[in-house]
Amino acid sequence: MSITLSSRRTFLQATVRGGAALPLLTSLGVATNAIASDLTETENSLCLFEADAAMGADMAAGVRQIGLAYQTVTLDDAAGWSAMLDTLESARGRSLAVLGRPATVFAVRGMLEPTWRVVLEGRHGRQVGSQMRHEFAGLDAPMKQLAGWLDRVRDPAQYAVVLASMTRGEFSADAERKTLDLNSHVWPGSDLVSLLAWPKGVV
Amino acid sequence: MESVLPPGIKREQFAALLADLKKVVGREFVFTDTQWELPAYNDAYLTTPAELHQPSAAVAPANVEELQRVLEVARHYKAPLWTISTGKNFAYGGPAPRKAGYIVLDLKRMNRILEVNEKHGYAVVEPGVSYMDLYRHLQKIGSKLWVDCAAPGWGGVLPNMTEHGVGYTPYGDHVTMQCGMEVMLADGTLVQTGMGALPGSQTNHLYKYGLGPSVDGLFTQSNFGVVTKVGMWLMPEPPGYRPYMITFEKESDLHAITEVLRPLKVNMLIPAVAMTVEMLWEAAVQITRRDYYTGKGPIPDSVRKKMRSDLKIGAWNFYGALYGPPPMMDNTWEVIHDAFASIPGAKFYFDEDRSKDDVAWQYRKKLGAGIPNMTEYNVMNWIPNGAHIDFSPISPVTGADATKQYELIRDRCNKAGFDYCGEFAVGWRDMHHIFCLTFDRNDAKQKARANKLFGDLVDAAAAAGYGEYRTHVDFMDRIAGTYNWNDSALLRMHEKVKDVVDPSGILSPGKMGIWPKSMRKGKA
Ligand SMILES: Cc1cc2nc3c(=O)[nH]c(=O)nc-3n(C[C@H](O)[C@H](O)[C@H](O)COP(=O)(O)OP(=O)(O)OC[C@H]3O[C@@H](n4cnc5c(N)ncnc54)[C@H](O)[C@@H]3O)c2cc1C
Repeated sequence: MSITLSSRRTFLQATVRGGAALPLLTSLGVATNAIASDLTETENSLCLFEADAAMGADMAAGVRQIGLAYQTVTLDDAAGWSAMLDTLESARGRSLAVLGRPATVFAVRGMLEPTWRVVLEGRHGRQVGSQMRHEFAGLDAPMKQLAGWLDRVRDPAQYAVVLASMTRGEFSADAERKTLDLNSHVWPGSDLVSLLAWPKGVV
Repeated sequence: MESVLPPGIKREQFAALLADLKKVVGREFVFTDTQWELPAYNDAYLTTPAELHQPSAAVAPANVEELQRVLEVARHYKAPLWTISTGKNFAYGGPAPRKAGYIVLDLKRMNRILEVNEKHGYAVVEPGVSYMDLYRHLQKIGSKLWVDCAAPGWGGVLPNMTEHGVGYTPYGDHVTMQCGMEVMLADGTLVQTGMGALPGSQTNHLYKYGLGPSVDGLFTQSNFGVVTKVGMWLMPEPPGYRPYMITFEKESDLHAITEVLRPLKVNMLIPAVAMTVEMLWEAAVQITRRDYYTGKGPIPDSVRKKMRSDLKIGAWNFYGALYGPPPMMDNTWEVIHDAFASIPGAKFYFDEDRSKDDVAWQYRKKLGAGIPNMTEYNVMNWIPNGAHIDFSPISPVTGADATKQYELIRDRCNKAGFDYCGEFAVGWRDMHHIFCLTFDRNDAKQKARANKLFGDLVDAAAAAGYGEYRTHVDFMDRIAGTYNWNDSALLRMHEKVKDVVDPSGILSPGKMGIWPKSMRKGKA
């Protein structure tokens, strides 16, 4: 499906009020079905995440609850990789949230660019001591929105849900790229990288 | 990121050039946006500043007709192009051009699988066909032919071959398995090599050499043309496949392992590209360094021992596979087993002996049967912001040479503060020794150290009589400079050929140290 700038904007304007508030409600266990049912054209966003037992199940539940389509990603087997390629192929025109270990996200990014726009990359690494370092590079607006959630999310699964909800944001392609480094409490599991990618033509 | 211009081209000319390219391929397939598009054409694994390899644009033709017209535009403006196909040449430069300002010629859109010949066992593909694409296609049509893939399944069948790449089945030497090539010269002439030069040829992909000089090799690791099509022989699925792993306890066992395997390999009891893998490679695909050690410098022996015991791996790990009818595999295994059992502490494993969660075993098992995957990319998870460039000297299959190369690299690498992470891919009569030099790509000092180490290794290896089989864009001149027998006669011959087949010097200037006349003096 290809989406023109204007129809995309209309869609976003209609849905952006759901924004990043939605996932927190989800994570707090508040029923979000009523809100989610307000959202139309949910097929316009997609979440890809690494099939990792440590974070996978919760994440799937979360993104399902806010009505996003999702697909797990793996480096390890042809069938999984192949399914991801099919998904990406059919996802033209959708926005994407990606979360996984660095190598996996590197590989996904390699399949996206240059025909998609990666509006934000976040590198989330455990520091010595009990800190988590988040290094963001990309557009200011999503970066700032995400920054506000870092200390509020408990684990990668919750972060994924916040990230996935950002695919509904509206960002300007002309905005300058920036970087932002922040610390938060430690999340369980390994170092991660996240991406927000927008369809070319929308950004 | 600031935009750059192709060398020797002024801004107005560049604008006209881009307009001409857009007329050929359409606006959508000329990429110039420095923020959103061109970073994808640089190398994420550089040890040098990214500006040195920043392209001015990228252009993606859809077919040979468009390619022909792109070359015409490039000739008109004398604009350097840098050819890539799938563009995943990471560890050796990724899609990045040799110098800043080149226009990347991206052939990803030329991705047709033109023929699969089940009877004779071959496929004919265009440049943009990845291993994964070919595998998916073969599965879809129910073919009984296997792909032979490099460890990263997103790489291209054609470009991996032109880079002299390797896979892991008996068809792992990709250049050997290539038969029939179509190549476009810089002047736009399309050439069929070998039997393909005969109109209506019935044997283009069956016999490699045709009549007269066999020229296919001239278009591998070179900048003499753009390869637009190749035939690749594919292995028919064998009646049986039994991969195995043998672990060895001591670092010094490398000598004995190599001595034992040579006769087995030369006599074809080990038909595939077998692997002798050092323990840290095995570890890096499944754990992170920090899981075991947070200190600086090389990992201490006590920690290495713990890793080995947790992961059930040896100091060295040999991977091979048996192919054929079961009785044949049984017989061959007896010979292989007895030979390696002579090394004290050798342990033998088949699939049923390794865990389903053993990441290293599982992906090697797939590679031995040509099933593409990307697991090996996990080595970049080994350290935070991990990246690597590969130093790849060729070694004779002798214990003395393997040990000498291993020590030559290990000692310099430890001194420079890096872990040795390497493997030997055993070919027909040689071993490709791959040292995966892993560094933090956000740490400028570490990158500079990695760069210096790499250069030192090139010199030390050359002094000992060892040359590399391919290399990263940053080291092409340096390594080409070591192949300097008889006053660099080979390089001078390459330059003569270059001047004749590409007088405007538009195709990949500097590839493997070969520069067109106009750029020869200004070599970086
Ligand atoms: C973790 C890891 C593991 C790896 N394992 C392996 C392995 O097992 N085996 C192996 O071989 N490599 C391996 N590599 C190296 C590399 O990733 C592969 O060789 C990969 O296949 C090369 O990228 P590509 O196929 O996309 O080629 P491309 O990037 O498209 O091309 C590579 C080069 O070939 C030339 N070229 C491309 N297309 C053409 C053309 N049409 N005409 C003329 N010249 C052309 C160009 O000079 C180009 O720079 C590994 C790398 C990493 C990071």
